Amino acid sequence: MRAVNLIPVEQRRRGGARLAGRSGGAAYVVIGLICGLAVMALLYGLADHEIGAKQAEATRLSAEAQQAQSEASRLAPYTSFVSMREERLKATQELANTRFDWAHVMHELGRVLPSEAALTAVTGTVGAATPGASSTTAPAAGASAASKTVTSATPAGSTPTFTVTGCAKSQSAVALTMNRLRLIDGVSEVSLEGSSKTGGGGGSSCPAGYPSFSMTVAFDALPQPTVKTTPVSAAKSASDSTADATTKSGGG
Amino acid sequence: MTGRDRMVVVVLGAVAALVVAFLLVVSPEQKQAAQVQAKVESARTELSTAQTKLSEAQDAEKRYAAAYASIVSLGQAVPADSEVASLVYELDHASSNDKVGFESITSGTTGSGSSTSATASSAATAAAGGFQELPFTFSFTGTYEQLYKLMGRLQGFTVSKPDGSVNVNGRLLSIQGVSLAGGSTASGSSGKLTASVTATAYVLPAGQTLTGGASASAPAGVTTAASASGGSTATPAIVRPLP
Repeated sequence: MRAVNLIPVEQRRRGGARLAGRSGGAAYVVIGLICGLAVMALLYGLADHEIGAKQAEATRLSAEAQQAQSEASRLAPYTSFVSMREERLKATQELANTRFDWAHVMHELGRVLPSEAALTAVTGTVGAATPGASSTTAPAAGASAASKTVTSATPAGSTPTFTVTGCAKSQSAVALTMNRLRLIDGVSEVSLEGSSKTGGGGGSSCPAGYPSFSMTVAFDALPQPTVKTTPVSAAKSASDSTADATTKSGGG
Repeated sequence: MTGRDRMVVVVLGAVAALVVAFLLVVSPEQKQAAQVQAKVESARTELSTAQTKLSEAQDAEKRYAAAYASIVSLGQAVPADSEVASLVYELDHASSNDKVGFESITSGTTGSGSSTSATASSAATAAAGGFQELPFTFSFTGTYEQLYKLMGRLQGFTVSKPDGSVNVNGRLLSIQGVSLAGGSTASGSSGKLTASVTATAYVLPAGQTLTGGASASAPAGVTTAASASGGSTATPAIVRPLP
């Protein structure tokens, strides 16, 4: 069976034009175009507003940065001065920390020496004997590359050595002396250079029949300095010390 | 061309017009906004860096008085010039405390030890980058106990403490060698020994002054209220010991 549309043809056209209107849909296009333009105007406005606001903010931030830089530049000498103080303190600490404790070792030497032996001469040296041969201490970890290195007269890594000569009642006493010298803090090696009984006459400094000995006492190498600098505000400053030299000054 | 075709053309034209308008007007504005945003970020970073520097500088300004006192005190340990007179005074004072005879001081390490007129300025050894070295040879007489106590006193002039500070009582000395021998005929009978001590003192590198031109109130290069108004800056009271 064939379907038949009973609506009159005129009315059918009118119904179809109702959706598109008399303009045939052009009105929708215009409305869409206007809406699109409105959205774009909105986007443009937002961007323009953002530009204005951000530019103002950038100008304000730049001005603040310039002011801060100017103030920091004005105070730069303070920073330089404090840096100079830190460098000198660090250098002084490095030099102080790489020294050999002579007083303690000499005290130990006197303490461990057996009563059967006596010393006639003691010679101790650390590292280079001449200043030209001294080496430079390595910069401490974390030290800035710009910080200056410090040359120590007793550089880290150098080996203190004592040469002791003396007299003993017997060769056993010489052996005992060697054993005792090993008890000194930091001794790495004690070597006997010679021990011989003397006749006691002539230029010998030992009594007749007493062995005259000579030994070399080597110590552990001086350690790397451990430098720990603290800010002046936190640390006791170097001026905290009771400065003998200062208090006993005569002026000038 | 049917009405439908015309409609399609109109719609496409409208869309094209919107796209063109977006590309020509809105998009450049948005790009500019992004550029300005980048500028703001850059300015913000710049401000942050400047504020950090300023904070450090202000902190340094607050610590200046302590730093100045510290650097003046360190000047006792490592002075700007040889300061041999003060060194002799310190040695004499230290040896007197230990009842040790201070016999001689010689500039350099190879001297005969008979002179007390050391002019160490000529003996200053250039040390690369750091302090300059001043080698000396001292001669003392005393008992063994007195002499080893003196060694401790000499190296105790300047001591580095574990908390990071430095205790300064006098010149920084590094003892390189000690030689003990029986005393001379005058003192040998009393059990006294003669100690020849090779040591090194230090001075600041050439061209450096103790405070770098700073005064107690402000470092060099800072305009203070006093100097701006024509007032004189305070001269640091660096006390040098005299016999």
